[in-house]
Amino acid sequence: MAGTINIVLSVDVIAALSNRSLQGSVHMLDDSPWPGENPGTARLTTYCWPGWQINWTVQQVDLQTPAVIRNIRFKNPGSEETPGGRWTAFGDAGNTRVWSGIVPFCLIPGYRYWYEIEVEMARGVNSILSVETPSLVVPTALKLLA
Amino acid sequence: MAQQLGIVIIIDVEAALRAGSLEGCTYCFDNAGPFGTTGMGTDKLVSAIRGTYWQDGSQASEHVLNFVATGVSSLPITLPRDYQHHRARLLELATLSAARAVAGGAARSKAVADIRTALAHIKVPQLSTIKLPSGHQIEHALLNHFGEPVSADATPDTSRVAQLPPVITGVTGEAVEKGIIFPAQYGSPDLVNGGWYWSATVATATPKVWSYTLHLLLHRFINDPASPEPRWEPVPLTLDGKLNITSKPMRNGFTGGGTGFLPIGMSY
Amino acid sequence: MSANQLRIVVVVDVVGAVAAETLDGSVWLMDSNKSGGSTNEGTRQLQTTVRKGDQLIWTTMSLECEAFAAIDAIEIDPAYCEVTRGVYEGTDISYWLGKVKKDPGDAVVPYNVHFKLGSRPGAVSMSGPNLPAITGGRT
Repeated sequence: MAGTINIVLSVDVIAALSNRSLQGSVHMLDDSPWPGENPGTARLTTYCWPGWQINWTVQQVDLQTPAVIRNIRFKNPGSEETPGGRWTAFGDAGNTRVWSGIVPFCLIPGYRYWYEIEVEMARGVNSILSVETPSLVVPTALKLLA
Repeated sequence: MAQQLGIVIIIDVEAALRAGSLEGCTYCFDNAGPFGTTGMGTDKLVSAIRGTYWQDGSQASEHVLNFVATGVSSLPITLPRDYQHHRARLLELATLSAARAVAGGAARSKAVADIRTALAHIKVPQLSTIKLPSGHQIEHALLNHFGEPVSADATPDTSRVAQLPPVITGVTGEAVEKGIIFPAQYGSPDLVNGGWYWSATVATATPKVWSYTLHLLLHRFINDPASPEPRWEPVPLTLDGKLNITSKPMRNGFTGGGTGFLPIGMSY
Repeated sequence: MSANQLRIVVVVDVVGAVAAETLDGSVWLMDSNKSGGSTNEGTRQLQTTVRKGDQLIWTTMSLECEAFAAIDAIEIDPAYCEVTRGVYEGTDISYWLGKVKKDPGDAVVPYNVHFKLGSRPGAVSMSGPNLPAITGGRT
């Protein structure tokens, strides 16, 4: 039975903007039934299964700061290309995007699919920052889950 | 998606009490400046609330307003709310230990004049009474603009006393009556800042410019030589604000429409 | 008339300033001297009217209550105003005290405020030409 996995990015926005980097300021967590690797860091590896839905959300630690996910781009094996969400040119509508998708059936089990997640915080030269270190993996051992 | 909007209201209390109105002497701000708020720094703030909705029409994002009010002549709000209490207490403790020191040295003291001189340097904080609209009274040690207790021997000059920060007592108006905002007073677990603040959740289903009225309590400092202590009289005033609510549909970031497969594992 | 103590509050949108690497559009000033003739209240070009002997007390406030903001320095012509930093005893919250040494008369004496914001290592200052100022003629 397909389920849902939630991946939350907890961001310390003021620290990220002050240091002009998300490194050390973003903590990722997921609720996958198979525990991920490196939870609480930007290098989270989330275990998922084909047909399952994954939802990404951002939660800012300093509640009154604006933060939205601007884009999520996956790195395909064997190619430098990083196709991203096709609807990235929304302009002003950063807060109208929901980042959810179904894990495709063509993923190679055990292979790490890296992705880059871009966060937009407030407006200005430092406002768009990203991390390229999280990944998705379909586990090799098949587990039947109810 | 869930961003809290801080609405800051800074009041020139002396000018407001003189005019009998908050108009023209109130400076309002919120942190949605880059996102469409107008009137920053004036008494005509129109806060931008960018709502979103799902396909079925239900509200997609949470919007919370947090109201903070202070006076231009008040001490910074980052200081603990009971700072006057703390400073007065420190002064009293210093006074007590100075008095004990004089008592301890009395046997060795040559003259009463020495004791008088020592005692004359002991400082006592000037207390004042705050009258609440309910009729209750609370004690408040006067502090100057540097956070120091005003000495009881000095005649406190109004402009040299730190103004009590204005207090928000309620939110009413069209936005409240029509169920657009739901205001309530909350206790903050942050004890250092004294705890109470007004907050309101926002229903963004009806895009329009909605108005609300903030009720504030200012305090007039009265230094009547006839009474034993100076006092603060409550002066209630109101201020109108506006919310510019817009609402847009949520779209999937990957597909631009509804949920689909993640764009991975295949060449696009 | 005797010398007055005037309060000046500097409001900063810390998130906006740190994101955009500039205080433009993210700083506003107001004082307690509107009835004494100060103008441009609530803007970055506040003009505070003063007299010789007046004391100006600057404090800062962040729009976002979780954000850290402190005035690192105030640059003003020392011939007109001498500034020193003070701390509210028992806390790490500071204020800046300026003593007006010479009445500016018709002259407009601008000043620049430098801030420490968020966890940003260096200071950020207001960029000219629209700076706040002191001028003579306090009523």
